[in-house]
Amino acid sequence: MVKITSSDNQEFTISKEIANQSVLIKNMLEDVGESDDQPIPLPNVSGAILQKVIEYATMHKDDPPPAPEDETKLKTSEDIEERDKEFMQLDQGTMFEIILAANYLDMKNLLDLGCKTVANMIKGKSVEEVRKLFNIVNDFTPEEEEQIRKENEWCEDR
Amino acid sequence: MYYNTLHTESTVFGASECSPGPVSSPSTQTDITVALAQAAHSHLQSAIKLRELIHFQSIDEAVLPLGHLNETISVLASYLRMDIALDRPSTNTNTFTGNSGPPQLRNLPRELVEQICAFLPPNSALALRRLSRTFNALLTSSYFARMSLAQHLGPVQTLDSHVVAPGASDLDKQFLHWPASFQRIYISRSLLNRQEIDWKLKGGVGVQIPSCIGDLVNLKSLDLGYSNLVGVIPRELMNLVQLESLKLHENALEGAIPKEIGKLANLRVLNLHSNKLSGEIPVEIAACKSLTYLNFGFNRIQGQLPHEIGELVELRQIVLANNKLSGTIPAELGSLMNLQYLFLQNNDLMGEVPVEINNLANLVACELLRGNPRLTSSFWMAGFRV
Repeated sequence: MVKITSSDNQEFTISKEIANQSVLIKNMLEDVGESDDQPIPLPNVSGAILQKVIEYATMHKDDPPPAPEDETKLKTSEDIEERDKEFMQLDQGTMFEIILAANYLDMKNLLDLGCKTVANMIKGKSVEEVRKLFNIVNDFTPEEEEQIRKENEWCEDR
Repeated sequence: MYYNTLHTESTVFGASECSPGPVSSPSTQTDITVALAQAAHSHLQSAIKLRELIHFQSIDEAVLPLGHLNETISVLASYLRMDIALDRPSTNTNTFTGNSGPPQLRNLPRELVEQICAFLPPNSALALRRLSRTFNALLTSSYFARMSLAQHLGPVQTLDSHVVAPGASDLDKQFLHWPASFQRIYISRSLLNRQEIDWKLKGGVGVQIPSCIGDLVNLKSLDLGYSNLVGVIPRELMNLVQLESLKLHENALEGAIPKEIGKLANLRVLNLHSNKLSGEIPVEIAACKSLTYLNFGFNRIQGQLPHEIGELVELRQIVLANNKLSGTIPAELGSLMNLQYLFLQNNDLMGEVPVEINNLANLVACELLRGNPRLTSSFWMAGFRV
């Protein structure tokens, strides 16, 4: 078993196969060796988020090892497992925290899942809708925006 | 100071196609050993990514020798500027502590925003350019173009794969609308081996022919007729010395026909009719020795018809009708023994039609006098309305 602590000092005890899904933790375990039972500090992840990440890793602990990168296979945001879709039914703040945590912990599958989920939220929405959804401030001058609107006529007419 | 350096590298090079590494940052809460291990790890990753970048750069340079290094430098510079300008936690700082508030799309590290947008097809991703300046800069960068196209295009075509698909794929149809970054990378990844391009991109707003089209050096046939093209014919297009057929008809192209046209020694078909081309017919066209079909009809071309045109002995059709050509018809036209069609009506030609025209034994159709009120003919060719 492996002990990890969150930024707010919550301690979690997880199995090694779950811990190893994080390349960061895996590398740390290899560095410090088996004997050390000091908890591993994860100062970039809060307890609440770590809880969700462990939930994801537990759900996927029996997954076959990832196939080597297949260059001919195109990556699309469409192929998400149903259970992962349910897992990502979160408020925006939690969702982005999980993306950041997955990046920090180096968990490629979870990071891809998070990025695909956000991509799917963007799909089919107008620029104005996306701005509103993600609180993005339009900082163009009217002239600049008009220029881009012209350049984008081919892809923005939905 | 050391971490500042690290941070810069990671920000600049952290957006390559390889999987994201852990975000390494020293933190007051982190055990110093762990921090150092992470730092070393991150440093190594930066080095690997830097090597990748150099690798890519060398491919690009082999393909696109002109100005590409400059572009790379300016992109790197813009990355650095952006990172300073953005009011967001930078890549390697702890996003969860401090006063940055809850994470949102706009304050995610740049590399993560790039990964998200790369899951969208190029047209949906580029539509987001209008969101904000930050998004516009990110989405038009060469980094993002490479990432996005890698994800939606599949593997790079090797030099010995001869994919000759003249029809336009979905991405082909977007090509002329893309920012230069996407065009450059699409050329090097997908179009470089094409011998034939036949895109009829009807509808939409006017787009320009990008100068990087000159990188498609294997092209034998380029047909962008009826494609709503505006702007000028780029000189770089004349680098395509293998071209046998160039069709840019029925567009709204302006400016002069580049004199570099003379480099196209293999050109057999040149169709530029129904544009807004002006200027004179370049004398250099005499170097296009293989030319059999020349159509500049319905443009605004002025000046004299160069007598060097008589050197193009393969010519079968000359269509220069409905322009603003002036001066006299050169007698050298009479030496084009293969000529079957000659249309010069509706210009401002003057003087006598040279009697040498009578030598053209293969002429099938010919129209000269109509719409040229100052042009006269002292002879009548049987069966033709001269």
